[in-house]
Amino acid sequence: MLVKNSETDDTENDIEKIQETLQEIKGQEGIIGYILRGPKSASIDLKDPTKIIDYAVLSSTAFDASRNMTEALQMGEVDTIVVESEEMKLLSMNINNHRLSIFMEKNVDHNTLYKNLK
Amino acid sequence: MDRDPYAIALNSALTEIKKAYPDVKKSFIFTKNGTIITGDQETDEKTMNNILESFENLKEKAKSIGNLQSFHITGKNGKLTLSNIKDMHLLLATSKNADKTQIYSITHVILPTILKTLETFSPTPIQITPPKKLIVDTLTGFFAGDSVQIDAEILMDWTKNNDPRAGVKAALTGDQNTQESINQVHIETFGGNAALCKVKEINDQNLKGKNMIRIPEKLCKSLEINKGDLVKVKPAL
Repeated sequence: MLVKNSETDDTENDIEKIQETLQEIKGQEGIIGYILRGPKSASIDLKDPTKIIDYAVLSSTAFDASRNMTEALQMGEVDTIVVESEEMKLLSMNINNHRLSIFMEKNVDHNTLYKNLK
Repeated sequence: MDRDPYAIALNSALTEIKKAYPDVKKSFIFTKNGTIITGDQETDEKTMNNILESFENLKEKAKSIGNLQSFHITGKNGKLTLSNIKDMHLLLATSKNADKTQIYSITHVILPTILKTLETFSPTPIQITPPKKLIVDTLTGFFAGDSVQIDAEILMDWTKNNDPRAGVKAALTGDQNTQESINQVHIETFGGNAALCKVKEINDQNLKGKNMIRIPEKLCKSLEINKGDLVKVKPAL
């Protein structure tokens, strides 16, 4: 039981760290915002709040589509997802049982963001 | 999947790419309207359709960030890249350690060049005719014959001269690309049965313009379909 509590604390600390890193990332040029969704809660920080629903739906669809595709092609668990449009980019990944999606302008280097978060 | 010369040419291209780049494990090409043109032999059509369905859903939702250009997944055992190439999408499943430059050269240099080359054979931009979904009506009686009947308007739309694949076929076979009427169609049921058969215009005035295909009873039985069912129909080149 104690071990379980300790694991929970570790996970909470990890999420706090991720949130700190996300706050730093949010301040960088070209970052539009992020959605961090856990089993019980979610934190959303987007420059344009009117886009919350659209972006949340896109984030969720990206995870679902990726899971379907990787299962169909036997590629194993999804590590990262990148969706690119003409002007924007979405980087999604699973971190500590949380689904993170970062929205950014196309010229932002998503690999650097990924390294900072993992 | 299309088995016309255009699809065969692209299939050969994918096979050669796989030989040249062993990191490429699976690949297939489909149009923006969701028609699978060709794919590697190891990926069955059901898998391709599953992937296509997920991708179409994502493409729709991605409109909130603009038109989708590419989609990349890194999995524990491999990478998946879905790219826009002209009016088509290419899916490449590679090993996890596949070189990014190699993938880039396939999606941005090799396949666009092949598509451009194929386009030079055809007078208009390549656009595969998607199959039409038509409602089945059974043809019974002594004069039912062995031909199916379709609206004249649909047959006109399918006239081979309007299909750029005919240009590719003509170029590959050396035939003259002259206007020909459609005399055969490929019918596919949603249960997976298929048949190639002769086609005529619908002769019953009351059934014209109703998005219908009249199929002889005997053929209906072999295709395991009934009156009112939907079937996918496309012209046979």
